[in-house]
Amino acid sequence: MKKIISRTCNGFIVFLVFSSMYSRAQTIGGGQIHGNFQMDAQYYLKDSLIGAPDVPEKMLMNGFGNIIYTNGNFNAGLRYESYQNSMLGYPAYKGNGIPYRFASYTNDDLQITIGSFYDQFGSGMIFRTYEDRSLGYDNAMDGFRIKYKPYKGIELKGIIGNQRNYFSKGDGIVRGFDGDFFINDIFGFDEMKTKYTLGGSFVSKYQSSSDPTYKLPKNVGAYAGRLNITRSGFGLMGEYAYKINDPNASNNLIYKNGEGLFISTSYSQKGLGIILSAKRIDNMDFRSDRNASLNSLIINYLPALTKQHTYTLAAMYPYGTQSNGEFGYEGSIMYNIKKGSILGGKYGTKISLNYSLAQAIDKQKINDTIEINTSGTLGYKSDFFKLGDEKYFEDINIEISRKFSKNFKAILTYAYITYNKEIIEGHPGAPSIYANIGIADISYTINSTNTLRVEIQSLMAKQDEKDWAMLLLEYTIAPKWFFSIADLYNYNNPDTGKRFHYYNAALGFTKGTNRIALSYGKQREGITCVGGVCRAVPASNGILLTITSSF
Amino acid sequence: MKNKLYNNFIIISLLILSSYLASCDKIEEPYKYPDFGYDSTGVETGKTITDTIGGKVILLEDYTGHTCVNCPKAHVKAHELLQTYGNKLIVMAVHQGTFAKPENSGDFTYDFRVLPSVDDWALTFGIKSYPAGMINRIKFNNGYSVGYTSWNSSITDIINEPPQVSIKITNIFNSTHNRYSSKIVTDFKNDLSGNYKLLVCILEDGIVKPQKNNDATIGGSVILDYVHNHVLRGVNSTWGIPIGTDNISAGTKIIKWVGLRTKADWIIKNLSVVALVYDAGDYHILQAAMAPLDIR
Repeated sequence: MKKIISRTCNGFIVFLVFSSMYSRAQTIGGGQIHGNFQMDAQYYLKDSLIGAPDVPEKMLMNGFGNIIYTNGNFNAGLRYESYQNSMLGYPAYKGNGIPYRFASYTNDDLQITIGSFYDQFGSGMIFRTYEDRSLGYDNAMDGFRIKYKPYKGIELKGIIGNQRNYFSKGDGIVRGFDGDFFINDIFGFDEMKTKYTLGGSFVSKYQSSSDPTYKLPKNVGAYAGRLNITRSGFGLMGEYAYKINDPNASNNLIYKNGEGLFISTSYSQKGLGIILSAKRIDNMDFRSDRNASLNSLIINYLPALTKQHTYTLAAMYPYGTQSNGEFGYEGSIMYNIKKGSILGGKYGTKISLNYSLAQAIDKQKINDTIEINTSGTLGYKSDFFKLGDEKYFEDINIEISRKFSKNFKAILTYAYITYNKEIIEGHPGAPSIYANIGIADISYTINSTNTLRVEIQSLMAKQDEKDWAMLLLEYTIAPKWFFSIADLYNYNNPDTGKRFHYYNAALGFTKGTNRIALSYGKQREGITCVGGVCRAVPASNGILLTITSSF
Repeated sequence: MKNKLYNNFIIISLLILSSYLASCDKIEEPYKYPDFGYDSTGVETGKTITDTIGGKVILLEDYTGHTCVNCPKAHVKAHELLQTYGNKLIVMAVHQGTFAKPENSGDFTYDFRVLPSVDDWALTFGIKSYPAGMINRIKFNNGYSVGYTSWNSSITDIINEPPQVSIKITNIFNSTHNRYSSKIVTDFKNDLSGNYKLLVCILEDGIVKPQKNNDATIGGSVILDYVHNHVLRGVNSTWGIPIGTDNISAGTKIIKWVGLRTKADWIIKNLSVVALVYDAGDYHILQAAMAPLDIR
């Protein structure tokens, strides 16, 4: 398992050089190289009051650079990563290496990729590999991928390999096959307004087992079928996934099958957009190592049905998908009130209303003597359409965006969030939090280059750390400079000794594709979630330097 | 025509390949292997290291948890007592309760608990706050639970009592079945009347996992590379197996064999076998013994 990636990299670089020479030998000639770079370095100050630990290295750094070579149907690339040592919150990364490298070419509708790749089958319920640097998440495949288009309207895909596990590889082998069938194209219904797409996929993972207690399946398979219908502004998408017995650390070694259902419908016309989505997830934690935990070696992605808030206080209590059981619903309506109307004003007004709910699924004992989730049993029975008693998350929010004059615009947001901390963060006995959040985001354009933006935010709750307020001032001198100061204040913490100010000051400079940002401030302990996948964020206090560049 | 043949060939190849993917191992009940047997033949791998001369060996059970900030202080205390009492004391760290429950994300996702046994014990012995200790499962001041600051005085109260039982452990490895077994010889030294049981536990030292802490002399508030020692990993059954009922005369020798189940993530050289003989009437432990599983 502990294959050191860098050992394989030297060979790969040699391959890259020779493949480039080979390309020239084939008189392809030319080609392009492009890439990007990012470095985040933080100097840490000890702050025992907010729980920021003493960092022996004082400064920690995460960095990476991508280099991609493209020439006709051929492209190859690599990503060098460096963690000196990894910043707080990314404890599993250490050292330097080239964990991602690939080469790919297309020949007669056949595309072959060797090395690392990211991909997704359907909505991702049985297979999705991707990278999210803010989460420290990277489950890239390392192996082969073949894509083929045999006929117009048919796209087939096959994959095989191991998954990235920080700077090593997972034990398991992941194999998969996926097909998309564009019905209108296949049967020549090009003129039809309604477009149909069918899709299906199968993924199997292999991991050996010598467990003396449990009969563990070495091969675990999952399949999914999907349908997509679109007509003018209307869209309907549905996918059903099924996974056979997969006893693992996450589900406490139960042998129940897994199921996932995701349905989403949307309608849009000028000035109006409506999206309604629902899902049911049951025992769908799917990893290439049955003993893995946290965000390691996850094969699939379970779509989150909650709004991804961006304002600090609205994002304070984010939802993390519960892969072993949840019902989720989300509805969004976006409406533009016409310019010149009484409500719309001179420039029009945008209103966005969003509601989401995540709740437990029904779980019942399989018989009178076996408790729910007992290892070495089927775990539980579940009525497919019945909601469980426990609410995990609820969010009702409205956002109104209006431009009042040429220089002045505002966005007002209100959200009421119910957050089950015990389930989402795994803190036994923690009470659910009911938070009222109000935000005003006001921008004033002084002239064509100078803009002042103010954010005033408030979160009021009777639980957890209770009430928060935040003020942010941001001054932008386009296109090069920005300056900001902010203070996040926990003014009503029930422990009066913990009514901290989390202040932050930042400045940034952009020139072309280069950007340098420097900030100083305090970070509160919490969690951050992107698309329902979460990472614990430790408290910190210090100076952060970020440099990004691309060519 | 050529193109069509080529396409069909590729599709058939992909379908053949995909049929290999359709490999699923559907497991039918029972999901567990049958009860683990034992082998009385094999290579001897470990013998009793606690007091074999005839003295009393005490068991200190330390009820603990990885998110219990006060628990490292108790771990340090247990370590000091081991330095003091040497082979007359066995420490067993029992991860149980709220602070031992694994969290869904973050540093504390590992599950040390041996369920359901540890919860049954905590319920029976009234363990409600952590850290808590039990000395030979004897009631001190009307309760089984003893605070770590009182562990030494409780041990002192009983350590010089003459033992009523001696225990010898011999661990065996049978390479044919790839299985460890323990031969446990219980030698009753006095005439006794009661129901006695033998409980066999496996402990592991040197498990590196995070631990919360509030003692600056030990480390930071979260010690990521904390070394967990004497961790209870397995037990033959929650309340052990009967080895004697009613009248037992002095000199009675009872031999029991126990098959030992080890898991893939346990480090064999860090494992020890602990045997306890106790009175099923009031749970008090008559004698304890410990042997490394495999010192080869």
